[in-house]
Amino acid sequence: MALARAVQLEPVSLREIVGEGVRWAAGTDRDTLGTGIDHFDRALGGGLSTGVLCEFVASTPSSGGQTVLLHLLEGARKERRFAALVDGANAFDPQTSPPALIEHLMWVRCGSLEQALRAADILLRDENLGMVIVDLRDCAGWALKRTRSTVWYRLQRLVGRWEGTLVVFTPRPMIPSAQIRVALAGRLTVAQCDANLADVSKGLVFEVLRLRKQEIGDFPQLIQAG
Amino acid sequence: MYTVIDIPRFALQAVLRLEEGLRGRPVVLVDESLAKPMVIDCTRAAERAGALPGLSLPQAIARCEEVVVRYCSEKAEALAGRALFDCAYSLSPRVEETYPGVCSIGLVGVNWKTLVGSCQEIVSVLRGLGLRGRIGVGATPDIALFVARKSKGVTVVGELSLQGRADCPQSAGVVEDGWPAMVAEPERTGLPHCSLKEFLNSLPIEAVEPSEELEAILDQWGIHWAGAFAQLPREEVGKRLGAEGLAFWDRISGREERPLRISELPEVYEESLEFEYEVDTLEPLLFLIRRFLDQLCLRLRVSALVAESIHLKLGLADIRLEDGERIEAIETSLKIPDPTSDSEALFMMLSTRLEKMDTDSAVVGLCLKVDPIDRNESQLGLFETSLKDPHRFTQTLAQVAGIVGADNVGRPSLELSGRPEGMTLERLPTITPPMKGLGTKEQFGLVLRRFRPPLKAEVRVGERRPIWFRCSRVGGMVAQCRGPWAHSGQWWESGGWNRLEWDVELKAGGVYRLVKERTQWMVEGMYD
Repeated sequence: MALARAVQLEPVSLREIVGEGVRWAAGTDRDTLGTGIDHFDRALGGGLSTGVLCEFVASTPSSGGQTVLLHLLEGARKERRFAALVDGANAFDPQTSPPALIEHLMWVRCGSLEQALRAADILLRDENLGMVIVDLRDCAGWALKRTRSTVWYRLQRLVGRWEGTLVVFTPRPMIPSAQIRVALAGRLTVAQCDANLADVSKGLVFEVLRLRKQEIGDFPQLIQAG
Repeated sequence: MYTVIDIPRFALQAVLRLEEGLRGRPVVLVDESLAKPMVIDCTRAAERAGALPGLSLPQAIARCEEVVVRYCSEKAEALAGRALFDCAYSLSPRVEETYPGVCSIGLVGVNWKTLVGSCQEIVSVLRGLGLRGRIGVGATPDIALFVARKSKGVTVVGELSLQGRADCPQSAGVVEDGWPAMVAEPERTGLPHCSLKEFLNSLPIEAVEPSEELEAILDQWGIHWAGAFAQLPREEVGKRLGAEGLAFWDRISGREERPLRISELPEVYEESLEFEYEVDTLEPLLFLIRRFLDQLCLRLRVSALVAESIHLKLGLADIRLEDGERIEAIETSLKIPDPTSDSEALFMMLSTRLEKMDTDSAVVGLCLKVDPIDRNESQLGLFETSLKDPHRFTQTLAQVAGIVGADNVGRPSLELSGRPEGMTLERLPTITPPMKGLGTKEQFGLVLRRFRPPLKAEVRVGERRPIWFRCSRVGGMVAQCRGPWAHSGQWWESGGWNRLEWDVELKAGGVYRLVKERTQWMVEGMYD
């Protein structure tokens, strides 16, 4: 009853009353993987944490999703991690990607959403990989709608036990279990064709829609929502 | 000094090792090449049921209804013979295939201190390959064979110094399945042992296989043990029994040291078997594959090689036609990311691959081939990236390949020609060197997201540039464009390309690559 009174009277003092012996959700000791895009990393608190499911929503054309994908590959390469790209629509183009960034990449060319999800499920059980990127853009809309949320929760649970990072590119917000959700809202132009990728990435526009850190048990804790 | 590995009841063991379900069951082995098929060997369960060797097949079945009938198989015996040879070769390269189920090994250069341990290991490896064997060590191949065939009781046979060799141990012995091993110094171990003389005294003269005539003479003389015959003066034996008697005396007493007919290790690492029956489930196949892999890996190990890739071929019972082509077998190959001779790891990879395979027909044949390479061990660089568990990764790869197809998984490798879509997928290396090439800071130009296949487009051109286009996925008025970029290559041969490329930005947003080849416009992808 004392606790109830305290909460009612002064919510700020809750930490003083029950703080001892309670693990708070703030902060994490997990490794983070920097993307190399400074403003992006700052917004995510240093980069993408390992063991979390991150969703990048690219709902508009030429919003920079592929540029972010290459930066993620570069981050994994610098961290000496092997990466897998599960390409749901078989759209990745190695010819316009820096050759150094595909030396450690296992590319899985899928023909359907179902194949992509099954492949991701298998890859997330392999400790050899430090990053799995699942690209579901351009997958059939009806198939995306029919994907059950349990699939995503299963993947999120797998990631939680894994020492890597799972990044999913989607055409619209659709992963209920995503701990990080970022919407890419930029628009590339022809004028940027002469710029290098690092400069292109500086111009990327994004919005962090959800940022959670996995801390207590395996349950994601809400830290900030934008 | 020689070692002999003997597989008793070889024909029966060769057949039994290929079927897991026969263990403990009454099985009779029938020779169908005879005019009247007859039981030539049987398991102990069949023996207890009364289905004994010498009976005709109906008689055996009448005595034991549950009896399982198997026929002698030359292929099974050849397989078992190769397994035996591989085991023998692990001891020394001087191996003779004396008889079916018997290998004699010359022990020149073998470390005596580790010999017994090696023999024990061979017995256990043979057991793993489904063969129960016994090993004898002696001064001559024949003595070693007698020792090996002395199946119970004798552990040590000595007096090998009669050859006057300073490097030979003063004793030899039997390593038999389930028996403790003999050592070069039997007194220290306390194991039962005997001298060569004592051994011969306990060896019946029939065990040395004299001719019928000679056996009858010796029987008349009252000589029933090999030791008694060996004690006779050689000259007197020669006078009374002639050349045959002398040869027999030399054989028993260890004087005759015949040269071995050395056999070479096969250079092809392949095992195959055609079944007498149709197999329609995975378990029997996996059992046989495991047997074959154990055997092939043993052969690789004795040659200090490792497997680089595995090829599996399954013969089908129902031959079908596909696109006018006869399909008699299905084949699959597996590249090993970290070449190994570990049969367990190879089996896991192969079984994972097989679980994803499907066939409408039963399987009637199995062929497993391994491509060997030299073991190349090197120190990992400080900044190199390596897979934590390459074999686990191969399993993962096989599972993913089972979903999307083996051609759709791998590391992209670009062709030097610059041909559009010019790339292949190769296996991911287990070790990646540190990043040296250009990263995102040095890469110019936007990244393309391809439409595969490219989408046919309808394009309007104004002032020699696209001003509007439409395809099945996207379309609209062009706000800005760059180009054309001429791109051609290999025009001197088939497969060449010659095209114009435009980078266009739509007013509604989105930057796309438009391509014109001859008269056809296509949208190749979106810059993202």
